[in-house]
Amino acid sequence: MKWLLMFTLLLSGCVQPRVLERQGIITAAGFDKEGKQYKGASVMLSFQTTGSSMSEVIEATDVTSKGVRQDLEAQTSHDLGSGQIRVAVYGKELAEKEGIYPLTDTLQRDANIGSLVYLAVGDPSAVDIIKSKKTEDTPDIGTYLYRLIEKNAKTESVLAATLHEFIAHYYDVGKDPTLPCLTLRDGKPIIQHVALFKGDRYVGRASLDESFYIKLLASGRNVGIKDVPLLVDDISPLIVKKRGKKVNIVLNEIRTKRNITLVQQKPTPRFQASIEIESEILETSTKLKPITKDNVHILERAIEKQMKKEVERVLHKLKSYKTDPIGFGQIYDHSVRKLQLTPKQWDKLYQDTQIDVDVNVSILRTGTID
Amino acid sequence: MWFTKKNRVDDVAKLLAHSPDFMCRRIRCQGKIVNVLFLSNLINHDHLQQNVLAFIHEQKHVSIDELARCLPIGAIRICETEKEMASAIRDGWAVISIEQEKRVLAVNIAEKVERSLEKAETESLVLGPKISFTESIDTNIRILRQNITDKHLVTEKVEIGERNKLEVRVVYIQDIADETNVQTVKQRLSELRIDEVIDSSVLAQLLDDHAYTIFPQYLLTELPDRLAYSLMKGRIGIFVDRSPTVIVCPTTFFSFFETTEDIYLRWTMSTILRAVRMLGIFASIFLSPLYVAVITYHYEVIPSALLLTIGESRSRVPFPPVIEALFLEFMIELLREAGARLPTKVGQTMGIVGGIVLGQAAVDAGFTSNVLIIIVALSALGSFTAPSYEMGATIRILRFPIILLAALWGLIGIFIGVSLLLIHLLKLTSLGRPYLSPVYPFRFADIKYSLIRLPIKFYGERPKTNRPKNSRRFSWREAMKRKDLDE
Amino acid sequence: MKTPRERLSINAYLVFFLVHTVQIGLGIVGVQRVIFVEARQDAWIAVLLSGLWIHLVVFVICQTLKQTEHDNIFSLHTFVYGRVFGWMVNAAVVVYFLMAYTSILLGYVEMALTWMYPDFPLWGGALILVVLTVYALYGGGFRLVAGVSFITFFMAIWIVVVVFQPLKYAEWIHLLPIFEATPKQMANGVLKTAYTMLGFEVLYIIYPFVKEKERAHRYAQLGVLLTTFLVAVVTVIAIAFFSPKQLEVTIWASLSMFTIVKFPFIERFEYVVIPLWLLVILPNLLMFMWAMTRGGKALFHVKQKYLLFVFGPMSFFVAILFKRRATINEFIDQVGWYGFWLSFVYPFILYMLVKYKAWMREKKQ
Repeated sequence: MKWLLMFTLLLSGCVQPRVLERQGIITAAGFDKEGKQYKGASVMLSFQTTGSSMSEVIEATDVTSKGVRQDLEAQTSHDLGSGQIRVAVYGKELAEKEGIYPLTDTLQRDANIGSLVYLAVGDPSAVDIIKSKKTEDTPDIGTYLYRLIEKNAKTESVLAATLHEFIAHYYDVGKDPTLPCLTLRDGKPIIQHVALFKGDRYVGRASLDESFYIKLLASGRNVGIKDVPLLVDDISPLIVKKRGKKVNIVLNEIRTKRNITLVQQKPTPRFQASIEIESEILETSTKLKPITKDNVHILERAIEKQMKKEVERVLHKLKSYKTDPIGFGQIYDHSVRKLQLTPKQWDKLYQDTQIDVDVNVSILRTGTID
Repeated sequence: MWFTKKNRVDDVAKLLAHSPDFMCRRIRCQGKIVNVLFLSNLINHDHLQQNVLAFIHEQKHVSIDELARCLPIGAIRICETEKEMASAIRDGWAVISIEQEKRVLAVNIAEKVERSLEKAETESLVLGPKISFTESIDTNIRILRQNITDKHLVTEKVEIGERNKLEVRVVYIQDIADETNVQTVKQRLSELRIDEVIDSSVLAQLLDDHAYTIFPQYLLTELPDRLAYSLMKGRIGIFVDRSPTVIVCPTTFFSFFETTEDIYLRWTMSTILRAVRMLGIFASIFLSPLYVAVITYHYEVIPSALLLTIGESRSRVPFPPVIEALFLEFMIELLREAGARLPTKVGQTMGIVGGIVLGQAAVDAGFTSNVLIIIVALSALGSFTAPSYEMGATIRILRFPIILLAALWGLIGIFIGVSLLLIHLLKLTSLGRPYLSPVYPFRFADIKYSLIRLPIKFYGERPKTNRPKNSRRFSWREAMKRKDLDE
Repeated sequence: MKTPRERLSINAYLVFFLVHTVQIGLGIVGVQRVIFVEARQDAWIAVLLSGLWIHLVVFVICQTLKQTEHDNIFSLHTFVYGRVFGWMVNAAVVVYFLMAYTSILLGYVEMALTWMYPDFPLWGGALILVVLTVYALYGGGFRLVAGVSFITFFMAIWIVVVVFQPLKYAEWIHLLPIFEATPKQMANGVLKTAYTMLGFEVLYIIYPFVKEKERAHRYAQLGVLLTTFLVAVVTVIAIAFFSPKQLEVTIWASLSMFTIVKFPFIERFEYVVIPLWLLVILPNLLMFMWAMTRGGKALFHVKQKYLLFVFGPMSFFVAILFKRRATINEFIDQVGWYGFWLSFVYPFILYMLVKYKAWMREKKQ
């Protein structure tokens, strides 16, 4: 019996090994379209014995996206391994004209690639971002971009953009994906905007300020810091010395609750979106009187008013782009019985949709001073 | 048969292979001729002179019966045949024969060589009794009796070895130990047909249920307190003459990872120590296979923070990870084996020098990666935490097939190894009792005896795994009859 | 067939582990899509309904076995149908077990090859698993099967904790509105769930091995309860985690959920789960192979350990007939279909027949 066992184990032979150092491990990849040509670049780690490992960028151009992969393979003595890929960047032009779903589908299908890959849009070009040499303390651009997006998605106002979420929102009727939009400043990739998608196509971008509200409404997750400009007139009882028209208050969100409900289905959908923010004050642009129990509500109401205005502006902008990252359509679909919403139906309905916004801010703390 | 004739003495001498130290002392006493036969190398000469020769000389009436009644010696025996006499003489007895009498008297004046009692070497403890068994079965039984004063302690004598006779004692507590177990031990001992048994470890292998497995099935211990503890919990001990280790049976897999120190320390400490030990064993078996599997097949699972470190250290190594791992494991085994064969002081130095110098040089020369050095060193350390030397060795060998499986099929290979191991362990028995108890068959109450340790008040029952006839030890509740707060 | 000796029998609580582990196999890895296609966001209700049905079936099975002195399916069949026809029905049951065994084998190998070793031959994987089964059962017997299912249960159950990590990405709105599925959709959903919760029919065979027979029923029910609960949980999580259309194209939804799990010391948790799943399907393989040989013994009066060397190679050769995933899936669906009739419908019929036969016999006397 034992011998039979041993025999089989040997007989079945072994698997093609993929030894770590023989792999050209790709940590990030970028895709662009220039005219009719696809252009791809990937960052490949090459391990150095001296302890200062380097990353190398390889580039290729071809008529099809699959051809790019072949060309890349031809440029290295290692086997290109995509198992450690962290970030995939798509050029703005590519995203705008062709849509990125076919490319993300490749990532999704490949069992080597996990679902935690971050996707991003490169403005204007993805390859340039991949080729950037400024990576802070990380050894390669892939890790840098990964940490950059991860941090901003976790604590700041960028909506998370993993492969899983992109695909899920792409498939979801009545919800559109968003991706962080990377640009170069002094040769260093930074997140400056959030790219708005309609399906898998880039349709426009929102500033981080606007993205704060999109994220708030879409997920209700940690949205980070928000700078709210208030009219002086709204908080006049608190002002010590009037100077200028506006006062900027920087809030740090502590806990947020959001609730979107469909209140009316016909003739046009109508939503009630309520946001409750518990926050603390980090900064004020001018000196204010001590904020106490009696006058805090003045400040709160003023912030609410301003926020409501801003939310409505953002919602309007989204409508004009015909994109719905917040997922009103999804809520509509799942609130109405016996309805299989199609994207086309929702496109039509979305334009007539009315959204009532109700913001409720409470200031829990004001830092170490009143 | 008359023993006066010279040729009778010759017969005995012949049976004793004409040993040059065979002596025959003739005494004429009260008109009778008394012969005293012995092997001079084996006996205590003071004893012979004062208690035998002088005594016989002073007797008024000399006969075997009279001598048997009066001789101031503890162990005496009446023999009739030459064979019996020869075997008694071989044991260091003296044989006294009187002319005209058929029967002879054998008296025990043997002097055995033995070393003095020493501290336990292989199973060293920080806390608790330090004494260890020696090579003499009499001394060992004496130590045991000092440890257990229970009147139900049974020490049954069995002789094995057809040529080289060996005394074996089966010890157990009569009203605790399971009768079937005792019967099995006795039956297996009596069924042994073998010329000689050198040591208790050999006897343990002869009593095995499964001859082909790499797992030891009986615990060998040199600690009297450990034996006493095991006996009181319903196990059986087997003493073997000339061997300083005692066989404890039936044994389960987990009892190889227990030490008596677990009982001496407080419960929190020993629970943690047991966990550390288990983790160490686990790491020892699986760390290097995991390294091989991950580096060879699944670089995806390496966290990005570690990727560079591992990649850098691997980049200079010209061999596939399996060869690298096997090479390093071999080196460690070599160091251990060399250390074990050398005298203690030299061994230690060699271990350190060999470990550091060879390891450093191997990394510098690009033979191995330093990540692997850490892993292999860790797994070597892990295997040494097994309190039983045999189990430690088993675990060290166990990882080689798993490394090979990992090299063949990566992580799935490792899990095939785990499955095989699990199935194998489930099939094993010790003295016909399941080896994996108390995990399977599951005995919840016994988990506290093997995997964890609870405060002492939970130990009111003996472990069920040993099937004790009488499982009650004490009742904490009775002892601690609820007192009021301020009484 | 003789009732097994005392030494070979098992404690009643082990029935819980046997029933549960034999039910949980490959189904739970990819069941979500199949039910979701039928019952949409109410898939989890279909799971619960299916579970209820199984509870009922288990009750009926235990009642059937208590009815007469025949306490296993093979002798029951001979009792009910007579010698010749009974033999044929028994043979059908053995064939079902053979197919069930092969489908598990194929399903696991297919999954492992897709995710981890695309270039490994399917026959190699099948061979390893078959040899592993034969090695385990040769000289192991039923107590070993029980032992393996007991220990592997604890070695694998901790994964449940990890399943909750994808909840970070869950969108609960996907579950709304509840009770939208039509009765027909729901019925289809229940049917599809049934495929993955098969295996409890081995109760017909393990029953005589249980020491305390009256408690076996209770533990079997508990085992089914846990299975239903786990399948319902992974279904709910998958519906919330994936968007509807995405779930429809995801073959191994549970595994895909694990791709987002990561720990500081390990990334890509599915690479751990797939090898670990070997331990989950091991009791299935052993159980079905054992049941097969037990049936073979009733059919041919040959020692079980020799039958291992007949059925083992047989299932191996059946397994290597398949190459494509599509045909493999078809085969697994077929087996599910037979299993459905055998385990979800047939017990009721058998119960009636046994009852009738017993009544007839009484009348005669």
